[in-house]
Amino acid sequence: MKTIRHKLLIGLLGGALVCTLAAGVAMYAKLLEEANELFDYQLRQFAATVSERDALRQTVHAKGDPEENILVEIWDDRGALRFSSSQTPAPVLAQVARPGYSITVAHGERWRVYAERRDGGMVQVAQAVAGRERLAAGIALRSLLPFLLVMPILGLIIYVVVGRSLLPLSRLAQAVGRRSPQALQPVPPEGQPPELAPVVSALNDLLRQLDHALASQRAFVADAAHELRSPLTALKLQLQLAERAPDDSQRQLAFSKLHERLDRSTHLVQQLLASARYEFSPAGRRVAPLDLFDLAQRGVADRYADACVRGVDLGVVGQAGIALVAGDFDDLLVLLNNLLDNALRHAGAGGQVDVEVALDGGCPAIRVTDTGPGIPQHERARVFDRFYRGEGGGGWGSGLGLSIVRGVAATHAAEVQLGDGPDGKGLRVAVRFPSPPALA
Amino acid sequence: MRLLLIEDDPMIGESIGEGLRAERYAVDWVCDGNSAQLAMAHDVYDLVLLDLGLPKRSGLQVLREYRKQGGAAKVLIMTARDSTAERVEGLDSGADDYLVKPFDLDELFARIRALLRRSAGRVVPNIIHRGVTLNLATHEAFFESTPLHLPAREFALLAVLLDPPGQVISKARLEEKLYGWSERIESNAVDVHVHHLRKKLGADFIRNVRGVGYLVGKDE
Repeated sequence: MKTIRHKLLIGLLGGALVCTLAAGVAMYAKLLEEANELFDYQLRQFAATVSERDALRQTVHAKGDPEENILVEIWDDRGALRFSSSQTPAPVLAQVARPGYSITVAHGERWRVYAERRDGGMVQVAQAVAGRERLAAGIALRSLLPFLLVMPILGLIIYVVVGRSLLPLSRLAQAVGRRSPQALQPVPPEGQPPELAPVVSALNDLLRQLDHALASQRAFVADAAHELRSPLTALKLQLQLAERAPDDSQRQLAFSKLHERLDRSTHLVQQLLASARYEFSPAGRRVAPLDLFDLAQRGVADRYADACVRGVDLGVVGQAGIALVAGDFDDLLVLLNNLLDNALRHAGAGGQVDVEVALDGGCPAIRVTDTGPGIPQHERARVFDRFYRGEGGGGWGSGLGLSIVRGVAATHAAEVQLGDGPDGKGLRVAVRFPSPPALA
Repeated sequence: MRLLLIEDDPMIGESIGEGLRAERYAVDWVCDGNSAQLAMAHDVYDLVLLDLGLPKRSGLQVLREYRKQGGAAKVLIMTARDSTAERVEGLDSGADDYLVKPFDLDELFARIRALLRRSAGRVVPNIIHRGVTLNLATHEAFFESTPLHLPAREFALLAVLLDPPGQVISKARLEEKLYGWSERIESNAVDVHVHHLRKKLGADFIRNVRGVGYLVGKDE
């Protein structure tokens, strides 16, 4: 790959050379035309003055320049050569038929001839065309010479100017080179030539996105590390209590609590992994058409035993074949499981949790409704934040459930809405998918 | 000794509470900033264990408010926030000590003992008074160099009366120091404990100030 500088140098210099040569050719043509006019006039003058032999000889010989060498031949009325300025006795050119200008070829040379009738004979004045051409070419070449001599200087100027014009590019390259994953500040757009402005602005957009992605990843890792401390602290404390237990029955109890805390830590780690998966690697979905009713049935069946233990009445409302979406079944099951998790936890013993599948304004939707305490209006915007735990939640959850729900919903272009349950109590979480035409 | 545990994580709170009760402290446990503020308004606690990340009102807010109101109990912050700046901020907000999660129960207990000792103005770990020695770390008691077998409440009652000695403490106050909210108290529980202690230490070791409460005299 040639550098821009080389390309410009070769292109501009080559162009200048071609132009100069073209100008030379044009100049030659013009010069030739003008020379022809001039010499033709001269031939005519010459023919008019040719009358006395002595003067003629002199005149002819005075013209030493072979290019202007003029051949004079005079014919009498019988067609015999009366005079020739050439040294040879035979005529160089044949007698032309008509008076006036013409071109004659003789001895492999082209001649410009002017003929004039006089005293019944013909005065013929001729000049070699090649001489005229040589003259024009000589003048044209001489006038081009300074241009050709200037070419190297022009090349040098092009080289320097192009180099200076490309300086902002190398400055930009240096500026980009100074960026690192730790410091992705935007490249200042001031002082950039207008041609680079779109590049700089696109680059800054990219840097901003990259910085944002990196920052959110860093924040996630920091949050995750922080959040892991609570269950680990609980584990460690419980382990120490188990060690201190004075008798077997208390030790038994302590160990069962230890299991509970271990389960919670495991749950948190799983939720963290899920959260990371939906937040940072949205690729790799296995999207297929599916019926939300199947999903609801599967989700409820999975959690039924859990619901029984908690004393919650869990069920599905709706029918098969109405709410069809394109999506990843496993991901959507994760979404539903998280919603059911929250609903079952908050519904409490004697409560009810419904999973409803329906069309909502033509859009397939799945709604999970519980009869728990609900979420106060002012908290609703925040519950989707990572690690946010509701004020009434009691702190058992990972604080990631709804954040994961939103992550999965986002990969399906679905929206999540929080609302009140039936008769204003409890919570209804609705996940609305785009209407089928939008999927196609 | 009665402690207030402010911890929003139910599992951590449960474990710490259990551990503290096993160490014979009376423990009340609250889970959010507002309840913490309400509980701290009662000036019965010898020590407050404070988590910083609380719902409704942050631990530091609770602490600053408490100190502004003139609350004097020792406050031990237990938190997962471990940067130096956060420790400094915690201590400067009025905390007496700072413990980063996850921690050992032993260390927590040792720090609690040290804080309680300092609040009583002692520099030695044992309470020694008129022949009675109470080791607060091991909960062993001695009278005239012979081991004294004291049930948890009697030990705690004696510790309250001796730390420092010479102050008259009302029966209601003693009940508060000995029992958490969740525990049922018989109306004459304190009297019964005092009765048992007198049998072990001599009738005049604990004196009754009629209509006011009990007192262990400074000297013979």
